[in-house]
Amino acid sequence: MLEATETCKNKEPACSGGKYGPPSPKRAEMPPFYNTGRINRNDGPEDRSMTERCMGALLPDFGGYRRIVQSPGSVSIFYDTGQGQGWQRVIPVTASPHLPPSIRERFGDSRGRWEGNTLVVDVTNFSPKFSYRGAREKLHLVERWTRLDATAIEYSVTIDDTTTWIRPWTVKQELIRQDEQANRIYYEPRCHEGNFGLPTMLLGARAEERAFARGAGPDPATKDTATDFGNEGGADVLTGNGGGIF
Amino acid sequence: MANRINGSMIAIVILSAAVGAGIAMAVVRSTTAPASGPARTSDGKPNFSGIWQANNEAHWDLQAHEARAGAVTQSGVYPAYDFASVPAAPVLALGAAAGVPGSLGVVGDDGEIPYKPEAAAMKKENRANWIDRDPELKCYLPGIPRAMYMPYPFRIDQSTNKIQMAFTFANAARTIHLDKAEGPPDDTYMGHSVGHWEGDSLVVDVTGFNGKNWFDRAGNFHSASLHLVERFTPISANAIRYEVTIEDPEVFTRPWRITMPLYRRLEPNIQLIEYPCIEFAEEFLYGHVRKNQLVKRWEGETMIIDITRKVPPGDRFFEWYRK
Repeated sequence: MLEATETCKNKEPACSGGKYGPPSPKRAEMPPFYNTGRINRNDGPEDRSMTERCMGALLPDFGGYRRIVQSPGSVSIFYDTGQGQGWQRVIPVTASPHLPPSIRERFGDSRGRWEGNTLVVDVTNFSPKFSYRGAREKLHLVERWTRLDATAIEYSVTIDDTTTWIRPWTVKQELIRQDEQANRIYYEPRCHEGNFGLPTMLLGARAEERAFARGAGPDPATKDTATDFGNEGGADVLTGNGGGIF
Repeated sequence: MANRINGSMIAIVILSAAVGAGIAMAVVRSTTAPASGPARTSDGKPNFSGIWQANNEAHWDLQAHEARAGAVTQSGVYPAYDFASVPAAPVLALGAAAGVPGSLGVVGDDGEIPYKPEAAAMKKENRANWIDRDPELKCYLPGIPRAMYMPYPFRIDQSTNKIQMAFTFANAARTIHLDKAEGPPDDTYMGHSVGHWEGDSLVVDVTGFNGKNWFDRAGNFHSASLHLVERFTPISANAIRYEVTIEDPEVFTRPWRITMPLYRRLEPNIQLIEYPCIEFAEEFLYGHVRKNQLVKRWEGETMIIDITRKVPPGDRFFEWYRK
């Protein structure tokens, strides 16, 4: 029955009927940097992906809705993104310098300025705790928000980190104004408030360990809990930030 | 589920005033405020844009209260006297930094919160079980009005048809709709806010709550029937009078009010610095399901935290005193 699934077509380990090799001797080791993806271990919250911990959202962000409200000196953007993992951003439009290097933020420190009709935003001070495709605290973004007409904005972001990529690269997308009545969405990120999944996964791991200890189940270390079963999860710990919702 | 980046799914809601041929994003231009009066927008409304913060003790307890020895206390050597309580284990190691400041309270009229009898009992129980019940400790979205007077700055961005508030705590946000906007299809933590101007007052009607929030750390609570009417009125360029009429027929016998000033943060370089409490609360919430417990351990339904203070050399009490 499994043969027809993507799991088996792609010859993923989950197709092999539960016959896995011995656990890697590295399994108990500390990851070389702060883990953001799935790993084959469930010792604590830090072994799970950022998405499972309700901290999956990142900047740059290319999905979902944004609500933009601006006032002189500030642009506020609410990102309704991921599965209840949205976040509120404030872009100070100011010539003042970035935060000192000792202050690191998950979504970085934004500084906006106007170049004609384009809002140019420089983003630095990212946290080493989060990973955008492998880039962490050295990530540097230059965003350009340009109003094309009454219903469209061109968003372009140049993404740079010389320790991750050989040169800066740019993503462009067009953002289309949405009808508010047709998109009566929550604007409320409440993944964390309903996160029964994370403690339940950890509790499950504890139960498996107890079962193994009394001879009633397999060694949990021999079980694969990190395989990518399609889009839902299993981002590469080296390059991604957890599940595949972004 | 939106699993892949898909151009056709990417969408935005842009909220700005006029959109003219040559204007990229219309903004509400501020005019120079008179020395003592509030800043105003080009259409003459008070301009609340900026970074604000309450400066009071309402986040501890909306009502008037004496200072307490600790956020959590237990009976001292005089069990009959509340005032002789001592700090309890969860905060003892923090000494005088873990107490609760006294306050005249922010509840209007007679200062009482008109609980129905069964709700009054629940409030008392909430307070006794503060650590286990207060959603703030879990880093849940704080709700309104609580988000307005938590001890963190928040940002208001005021446009003509929307006002956005960005809160430091939990990265929470609220939108005040000055134009027609139906609420979301289900209840929320932060409520659905619809505002209008009455002279210089911004009046905001807030409904659509899910009933999971508290008002403060003293166990004051409400149900999903909560209905708020907030009034934001400028006191000066740097202060707002914030009043809320609170109505919840499931919990209170009549509407009641809270009132407090909100102050502008005047540091020239002020900005919101994230308070990423989801990760801060993980040990609190999930520490007991770790394979190797770090800070706390559970014996049945009892959580045990061993507090071991290792006094550094030269810092024993009498040595410190002689320095």
